[in-house]
Amino acid sequence: MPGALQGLRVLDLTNERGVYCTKVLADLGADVIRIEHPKGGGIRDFPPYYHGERDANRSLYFWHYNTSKRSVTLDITKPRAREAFLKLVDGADVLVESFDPGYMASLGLGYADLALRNPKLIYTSITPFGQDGPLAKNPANDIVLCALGGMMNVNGDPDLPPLAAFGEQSYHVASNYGVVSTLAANQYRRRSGRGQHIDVSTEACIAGFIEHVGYFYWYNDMIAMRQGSLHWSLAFAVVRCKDGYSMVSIAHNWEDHLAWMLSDGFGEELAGQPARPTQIPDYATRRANAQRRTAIVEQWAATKSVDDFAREGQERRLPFGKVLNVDEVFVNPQLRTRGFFVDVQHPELGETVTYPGAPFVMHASPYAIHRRPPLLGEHTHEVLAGELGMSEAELAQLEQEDVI
Amino acid sequence: MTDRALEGVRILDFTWVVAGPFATRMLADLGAEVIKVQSAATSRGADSNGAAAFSTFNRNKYGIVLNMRQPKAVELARRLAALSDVVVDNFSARVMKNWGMDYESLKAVKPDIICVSMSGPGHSGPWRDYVSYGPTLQALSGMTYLMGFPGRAPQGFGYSYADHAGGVTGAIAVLAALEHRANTGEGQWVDLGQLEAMTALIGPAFLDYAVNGTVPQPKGNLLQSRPCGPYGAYRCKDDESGRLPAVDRWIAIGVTNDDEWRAFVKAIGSPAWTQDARFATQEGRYKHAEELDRLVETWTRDKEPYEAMEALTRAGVPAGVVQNAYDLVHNDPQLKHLDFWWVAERTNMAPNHFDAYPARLSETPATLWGPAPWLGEHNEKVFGELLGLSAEEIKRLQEEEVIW
Repeated sequence: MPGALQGLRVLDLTNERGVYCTKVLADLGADVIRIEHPKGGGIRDFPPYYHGERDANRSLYFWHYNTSKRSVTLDITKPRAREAFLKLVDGADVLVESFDPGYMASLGLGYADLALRNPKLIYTSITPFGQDGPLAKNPANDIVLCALGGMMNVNGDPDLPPLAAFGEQSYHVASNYGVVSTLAANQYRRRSGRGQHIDVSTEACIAGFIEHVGYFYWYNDMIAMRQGSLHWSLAFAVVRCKDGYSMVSIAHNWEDHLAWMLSDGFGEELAGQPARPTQIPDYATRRANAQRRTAIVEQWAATKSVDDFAREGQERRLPFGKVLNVDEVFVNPQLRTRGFFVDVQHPELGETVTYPGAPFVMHASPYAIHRRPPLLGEHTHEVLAGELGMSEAELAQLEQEDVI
Repeated sequence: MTDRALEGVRILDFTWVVAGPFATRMLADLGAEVIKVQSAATSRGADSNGAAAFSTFNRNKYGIVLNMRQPKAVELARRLAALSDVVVDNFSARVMKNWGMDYESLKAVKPDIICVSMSGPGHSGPWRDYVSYGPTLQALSGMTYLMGFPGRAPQGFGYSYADHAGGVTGAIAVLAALEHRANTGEGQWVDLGQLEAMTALIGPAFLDYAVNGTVPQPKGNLLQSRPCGPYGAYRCKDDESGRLPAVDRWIAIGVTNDDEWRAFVKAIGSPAWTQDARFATQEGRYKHAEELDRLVETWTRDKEPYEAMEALTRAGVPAGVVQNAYDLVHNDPQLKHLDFWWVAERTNMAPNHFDAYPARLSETPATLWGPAPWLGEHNEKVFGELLGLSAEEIKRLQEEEVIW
């Protein structure tokens, strides 16, 4: 079955900052053409590699973020590439780029330039801070954006450094906002026939993605800080079991939770305490309370194997969850039953590779990996000759000049 | 009045807590008409309308009440669904079905209806009845395990990142389904498991495991598989103002290539230790990160965080202060430039402040048109104008605790 975005033509000029945006569009069925430098580079060099073999076509990082896309090599910095690129723009609905602000304009390929040619074009820019403003030109990457955006201040233990999220999440957050904004703009274009420029600030995305931080400040005049694995709500924490760690709740269904503990001979000192002692107005005191409670829960958890503990917690309707590493997530029966992990053929390697797949199940227009990630320049001829009608002589000339 | 991207899209919103409301808030910011359904029976605690979280995640929405335990209320809800484009919920698997508000039931009243369910585990599979909150899903996704320091218990997030991630993914699901409907006339059911929405965000780690058998271990702030450094959070001069709950201040530095390393060395005045052969390459700096971090801190420890950021970024080194809520509101010039903190007047309450939509759409900017609704604030508007009920009928249904 075709995807939801069937017929949407997208030009992909992203680096790691925005590449997840175009992956989602591609897996949703858009025809995403990734414009790459003839020599590859960029995220094609990012580890990890297939069997450790460093090669433009063997970066697992590249693979994951470029499923369902096609690859055209075109050195857009060369004047000779301009004609081919502009032809691509003429037929495109969306362009997504994540260069530094001003870079595309310096090549004559900024929004203002391209909108003149194709007023229906939706042009999505994903940058650390947005296109303009006092920090717009600052050098920044994921950890810097997790810091400035306010995330790191509320992750980690007080006696250790603040902690960024695992897996360069700021890029995913900004990319997801890129998708939302682009698809919303496409609704507008269906009605008006007009494209527009979308300017995503990654820092702003993160600053609005940290749950309690803003409203703690505005409503309670409190500055939220990191407090280990203890959730800001004082309702969740990580505890150590015999052979692993579990996320536990220390407030939900507390009566059942306590009864279970008591039946194992733990938690007597907690009997008679309310689930959430809200009568204590002061957060620091409530937190100290929650930390004491967590310590008692941990003494009890230490007597149990984590699998049994988490399973029995769920059987008792407690929101426990084992703290899993990727090898365990990989075989998780829930994800497996729902078909989250999918096998993708890599004929060039004579192999099938298991990929993480859809973030949601669409029943009429499936989110899917429609094709394996492209080899460098795999579709250059297909697109430039086959679809744009350039002649073999022209292509040979461009190839000679290292433009494609 | 500017154009709004999602003008004309009506969403019947059965969401609560954070993930669902965050999804529909985004769509409301972009112009969708969101009708939030609550009930006096269930709007308590964090879900009561004056609560900080509720106020933050439900701006720009209309609010009605329906006591769904009453057949008459279900009938009204179905009549509203018949006039809507999308129905969104984030209940566990059975709730909407029990009310007769699931996709199969609603298709009968609106053949092209789009239903998006945003449960924790998803509506199928052996764990579909799991009790899960953000922290549970973070643990089950692999993210909690990989957020910590070697030899220490996993920390994970201090808040529910999964609710935001699930929310933005939910917004994408709604928009993708709208695209499919625009292309084909067909509605559909989207079964979004927030566990999958989370798991999709650490893709390369799964490929590395699937292909190479790599089982990653937590590495603090270091990137998992891309050797570079210094890359982490470094302690600056303490803040003795007494304004913050803790005195420690930090800066994140993200050096990812040799050019940035050279710039870094120069920016900190080329102390002798920077010439250590162990630090001459990316691999070396990564391998000896612990030692390197200690040495970097000898430079940062007596610097005011914003001064350090200025010195480093001016030299071309990616760096950013670990900002707290106060910084985000008062110190960050970029967020000021973007008018990042929106404020809405609200009856019987101090003005509501919240984070803005973090991307700028040139033709259809996100707008703030109203604060979160009070319980049933728009009953007359929705039941009267939309369903054509008379004032007397509405009053009677309120007395019968149907509109309640």
